[in-house]
Amino acid sequence: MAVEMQEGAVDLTLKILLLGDSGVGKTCLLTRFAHDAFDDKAASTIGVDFAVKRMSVYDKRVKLTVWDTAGQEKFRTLTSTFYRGAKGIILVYDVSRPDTLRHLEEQWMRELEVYGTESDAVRMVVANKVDVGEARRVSWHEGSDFARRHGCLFVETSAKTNVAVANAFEELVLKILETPSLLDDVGGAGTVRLDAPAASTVYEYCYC
Amino acid sequence: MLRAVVNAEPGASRGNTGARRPGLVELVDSDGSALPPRWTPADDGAVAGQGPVGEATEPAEASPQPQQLLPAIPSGAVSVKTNKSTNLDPDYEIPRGTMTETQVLNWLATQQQEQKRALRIDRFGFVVPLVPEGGEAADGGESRRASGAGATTSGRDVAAAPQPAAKPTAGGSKQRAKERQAVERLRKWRKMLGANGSGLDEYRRRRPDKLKRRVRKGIPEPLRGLAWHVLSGGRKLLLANPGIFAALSVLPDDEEAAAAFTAATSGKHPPQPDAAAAPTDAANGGANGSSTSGAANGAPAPAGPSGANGVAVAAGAGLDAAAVAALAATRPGRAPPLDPAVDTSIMRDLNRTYPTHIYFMQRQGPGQRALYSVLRAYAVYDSKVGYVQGMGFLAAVLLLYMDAEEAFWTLVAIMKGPLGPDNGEGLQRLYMPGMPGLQCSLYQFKHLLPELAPRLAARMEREGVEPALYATHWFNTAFAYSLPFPHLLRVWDIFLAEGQKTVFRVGLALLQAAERRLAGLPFEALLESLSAKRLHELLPPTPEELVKRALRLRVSKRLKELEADWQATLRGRGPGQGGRGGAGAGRR
Repeated sequence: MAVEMQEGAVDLTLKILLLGDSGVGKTCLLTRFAHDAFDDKAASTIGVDFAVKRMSVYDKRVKLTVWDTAGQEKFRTLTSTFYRGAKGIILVYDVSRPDTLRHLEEQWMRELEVYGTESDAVRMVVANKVDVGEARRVSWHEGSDFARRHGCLFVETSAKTNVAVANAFEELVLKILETPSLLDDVGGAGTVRLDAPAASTVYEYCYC
Repeated sequence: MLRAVVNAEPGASRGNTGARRPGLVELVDSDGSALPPRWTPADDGAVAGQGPVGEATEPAEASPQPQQLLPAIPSGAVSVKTNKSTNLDPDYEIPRGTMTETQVLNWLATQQQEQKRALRIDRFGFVVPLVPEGGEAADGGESRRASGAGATTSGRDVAAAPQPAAKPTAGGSKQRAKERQAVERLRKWRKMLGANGSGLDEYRRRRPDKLKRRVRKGIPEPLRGLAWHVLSGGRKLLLANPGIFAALSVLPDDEEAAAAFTAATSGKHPPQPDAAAAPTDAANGGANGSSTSGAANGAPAPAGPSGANGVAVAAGAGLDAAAVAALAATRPGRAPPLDPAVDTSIMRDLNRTYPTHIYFMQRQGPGQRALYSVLRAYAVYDSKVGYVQGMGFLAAVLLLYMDAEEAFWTLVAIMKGPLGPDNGEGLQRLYMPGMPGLQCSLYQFKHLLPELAPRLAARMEREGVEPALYATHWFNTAFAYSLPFPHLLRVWDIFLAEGQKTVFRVGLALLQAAERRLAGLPFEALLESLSAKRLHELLPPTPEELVKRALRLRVSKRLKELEADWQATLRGRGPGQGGRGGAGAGRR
């Protein structure tokens, strides 16, 4: 289904955004996904970080640009400017910290309502750190209930022990590809870029 | 699983690192040597081999340490807990404990086995792979930062490789000349600084240009900490405010010990926890120390608890009203009250600030504990700012060169002193709610770039790459987040003497130097190249060249104009919007 690809032409470029409280593991999820590695000595993300990952889904060559944002609340004024044009939103919480799930509801979802530009953007709730064992404080049910209430996909992952991380991203991409309205509006904010020879509009960034 | 725990008290100053307090349990290895609380990084090659770090560069496997005498320290997995806590998240724990040299070496050995590659400690104290891997993938955070351009033979830096090989021909005499120059420089700096740095301000007044020139050439490593402390204005603050840091830096888990001390010395019962401090205690769930915590910071304060309720504030100290209020609310010997959310956000970052540096890598070790005390004290001192990610890196760099009290006041000087833009508000605007200083800096940077690197600026404009996407941590950490240490130190010499415009200069010089390489890249490649992890690839090979390029750029006048522009833009959008504008929103 979804296969990794090397450099080369791509059919679609999708912008994916990682959101969630500080320290829930956004950077680690991304490192696991993009480089299949776990770095227990990762520094806090300040501002925003990026990774690019290519995959092949449904015979389409897809390039994901994953935006990894700072989780601290103080950075909201900055990070909220990154929402524009994101086709997929991954909301991450930490299963050992119930407050991080609560904040998804109280803060991050609201941010998204205000700043998100793609009303159809696919949302996914990711419950990270399921490797913690008895330190777990949020059950699968609580997480999936929350996701269902907000119409989000739901996956439990562990970046550390590599549980379902790639699946999460793949599922998200599949869902995006199944949502035609997301793929039509190429003129949006320049995140879906048709680099295929047929497509002529390549730089849509100037629309801002 | 450490059984004995030392309270590595953060205020341990240069002078008394050797002095052990009675009643403290200490872990030492078989020959009794303990890891020094602070690693003194060796000089930029000039006075190499001074610090312990220089010696430790050989792989640990070469040293057949008595591995079984002490349990090896697992990779940060074991937190040194002194009590059973109901909270299992180690980030909520207040750091305590220390790490001996043997443990460090054992830890290295374990890491090597796990990762199947040799590790070493570079001369700045970062744990790095012995042989850099070809691939980028698993190469973590700071490791390559520390291996930027220094003594490390960076396998990746292909262009630089032939140079060292060519050296030996004329190398000998050149090397000697360099050493002589370093010694001479050191002598001049000693003279200029005077006793405890007391002469520097006078020198600065008399010969400002000469001092500037000398700073730009690089401060000698052994004097760097003191020079930073004085140049930034931190020392003046420290001397004007005796005892303030001691009062501010009492940590919640020091309270018990401080109370016991008070009780013992005054014959009274320990004070009841007051309402204000209660939430803080709760937040740190059960982190109260069981050992005799060396409440060195708090101990002197409660000498006379009968009088004032709060901590006495030295007169004429030039403190903010908010700081004075915070101090007034602080009972002597007790941790000053702090919003639990702020407290935990500081703790959460302790383990994520220079996590590959030997001083900071151990969970709840001396480095993290010192970092916590400085950041917590600052958050109390300046409640408007509290704690913002990025400040930790500022404090951490300072802590590698000075003790906690000096680092605290230097941080205060950076935040509120003359280092910021001309409006006199210091760098705190970068961190205030809404980050008005950051928004302004990004705006200024965006408009300076086309003047100095027009091709790259045009490319970025077309690709939609805003400074907000790559330069946030340049400003927020004054490059401490992304520059390799050899470069960073030279930049900070100038930054702490001349202020924030240095950050602009370095950022612009860096992009200018890399313009040819970057100007042809599309959006994603641009951002990847500019990311913190790969910034070192764009740098000029030597710190010297980066500094030279940076200082060539004239930015002061334009910065002022652009700040005025920015203010006008804000006003144009209507009052009340201030600071809420889009990041780098250079709407034309």
